[in-house]
Amino acid sequence: MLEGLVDTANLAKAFGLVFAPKTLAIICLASFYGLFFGAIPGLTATMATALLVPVTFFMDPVPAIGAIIAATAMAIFSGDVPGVLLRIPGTPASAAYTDEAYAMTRKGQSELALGACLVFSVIGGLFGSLALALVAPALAEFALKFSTFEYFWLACLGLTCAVFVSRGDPLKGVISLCFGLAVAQVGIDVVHGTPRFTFGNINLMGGIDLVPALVGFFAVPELIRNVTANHGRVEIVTQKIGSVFRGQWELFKRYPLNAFRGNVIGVLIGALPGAGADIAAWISYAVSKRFSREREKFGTGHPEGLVDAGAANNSALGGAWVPALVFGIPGDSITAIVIGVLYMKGMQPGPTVFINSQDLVYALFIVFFLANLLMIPFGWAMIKASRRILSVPREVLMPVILLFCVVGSFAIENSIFNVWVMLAMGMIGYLFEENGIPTAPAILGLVLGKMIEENFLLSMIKVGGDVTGLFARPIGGTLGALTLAIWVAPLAWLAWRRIASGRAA
Amino acid sequence: MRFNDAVLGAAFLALAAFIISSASGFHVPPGQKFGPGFFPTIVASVMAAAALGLVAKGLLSRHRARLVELDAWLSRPRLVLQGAAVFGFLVAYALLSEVLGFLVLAPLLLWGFIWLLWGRPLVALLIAAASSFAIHQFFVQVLLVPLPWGIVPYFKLF
Repeated sequence: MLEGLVDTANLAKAFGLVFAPKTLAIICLASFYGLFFGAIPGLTATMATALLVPVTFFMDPVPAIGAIIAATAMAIFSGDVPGVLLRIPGTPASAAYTDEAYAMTRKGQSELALGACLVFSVIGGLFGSLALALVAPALAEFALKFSTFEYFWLACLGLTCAVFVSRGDPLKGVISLCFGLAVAQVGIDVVHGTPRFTFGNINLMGGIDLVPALVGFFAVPELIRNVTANHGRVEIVTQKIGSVFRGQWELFKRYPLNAFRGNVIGVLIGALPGAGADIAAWISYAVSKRFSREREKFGTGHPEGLVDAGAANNSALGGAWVPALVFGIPGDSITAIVIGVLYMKGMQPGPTVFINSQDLVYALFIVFFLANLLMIPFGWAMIKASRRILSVPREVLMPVILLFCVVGSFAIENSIFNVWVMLAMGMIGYLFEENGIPTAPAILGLVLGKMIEENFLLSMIKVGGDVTGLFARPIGGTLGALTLAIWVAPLAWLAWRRIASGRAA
Repeated sequence: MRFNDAVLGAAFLALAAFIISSASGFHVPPGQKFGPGFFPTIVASVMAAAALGLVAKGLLSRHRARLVELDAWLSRPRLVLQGAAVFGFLVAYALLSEVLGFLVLAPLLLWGFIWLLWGRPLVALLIAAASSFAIHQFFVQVLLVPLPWGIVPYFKLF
């Protein structure tokens, strides 16, 4: 069982699975793919994951999951590189400290900045892996006590959290979430078997397929933005990149607390549903500045914030997997996609996966450590090759990626209908982003919609339709009360403020 | 294309109303309190409430924004054409791929799109042909996805 003891037989099996030549080769290929995707501005780690899914569909579980873990870890690091060299973040996760990093380049310290991004990404990634490997099994043991009631409330809590952490107007967050939940209801309903919102279309009977929806939602809007933006040619100022590891040990000795703080913030923010590496980076950069002894140096090319935030965005990746694996509730949009993949691979997320597929879970942990260690040589090579990679013409890249999106959407069910789904979701995603409607809640709603409804209806059947039964069990009741409190609190606060301001006037 | 909050809210309100009215038609199985229409109704009600909030916000906002604000790129014909090309690419693929086959359609679409964005028709043709073929081989041979053959006779390289 999960008594803190490691099952050595399964661990050995897991090592065998990961270090099989084919799996290793796939992990390496996925790493290069991730490094490339992360470095090209406009291509994000989430998009890289969405486009990997159709390919992983045809793999065994360990290489499939390994590919995603490796690609995302690499992409989050390599998003830093164009930030340092061009002042354009490669992925949103690097945006928080792009100005700082570029200021270092202007001071002639691009090697130090690139090195810091690499070294602290690795440290953050390893810490995130460690947190995942230690926390997830312990939580899973606790979660074994959960039934449909607890899962219903947990999912509600997760969705609520996704709305609250999404930036911008919370009303739009709620709308986005409801949109995702509504899309999840298309098709034959699992409890009663009634076709819903299918408009008599046979293709809609099975529901909206997650893969074309994700590809549409994450890739198409980026592609449209890319081809409709007018970017002139950007020139890389730095001529030659020297030794990136020089001075890193000194940096680590000077800011050990920052690295640790960034790691912890990253894991915590990552584990919050809806908030991922980008928000982790913004928050830890802000925290770093707030508690720095040399606050005035921030913004002038000071590496301190890079240490915090560079570690945080990579550790957030591991953190996001904790709720995803243990409860099936994604911590960020990448793990929202991953949950879909886990279902396809027969590794239904939840505490029982730690018992039924222990070897696969161990393999997943091993891949996490391996990918972050591979980041040292691969990341170094990437930095060395960055001038070449960044000069690949985007005018060629975008059409090829679009073709890949089409084929990927088609491949899951060999259906042209899914190309239409991708197109529709792409247009909706574009309009969402243009209008400040966050996309993360919609994706969480889409992924969790069926699970919430199923757990609610099954719970209701258990207690004979009495809604108060949702609060009858101790853990479920606590989670329920907490969820309701979070729903009511902002309204109460708003009302109180109204009253208070009324009195003052 | 940025819509005023009131317009956005109204659109989602309409969607919510549609969901609620369809859900009311779902048959509730005998002996059960919550039928297949229950959850859609809840979700749509929350959506409607938020949409109403958005409408109110749009109407009450101090600076009356216009109903629709067009992005800067929409006034540049060249960029509009490039944006429309994404749309056209997808529609053309969905409509024609089964008739023409991947190996005919994909290079044509890619060629057109790269040419449009980049210029250099000859190099674009080369890149389009090579990358279409590579993607085809990867999906057909490695992943065993039956991409449509259309008018191209079936062949196998390896």
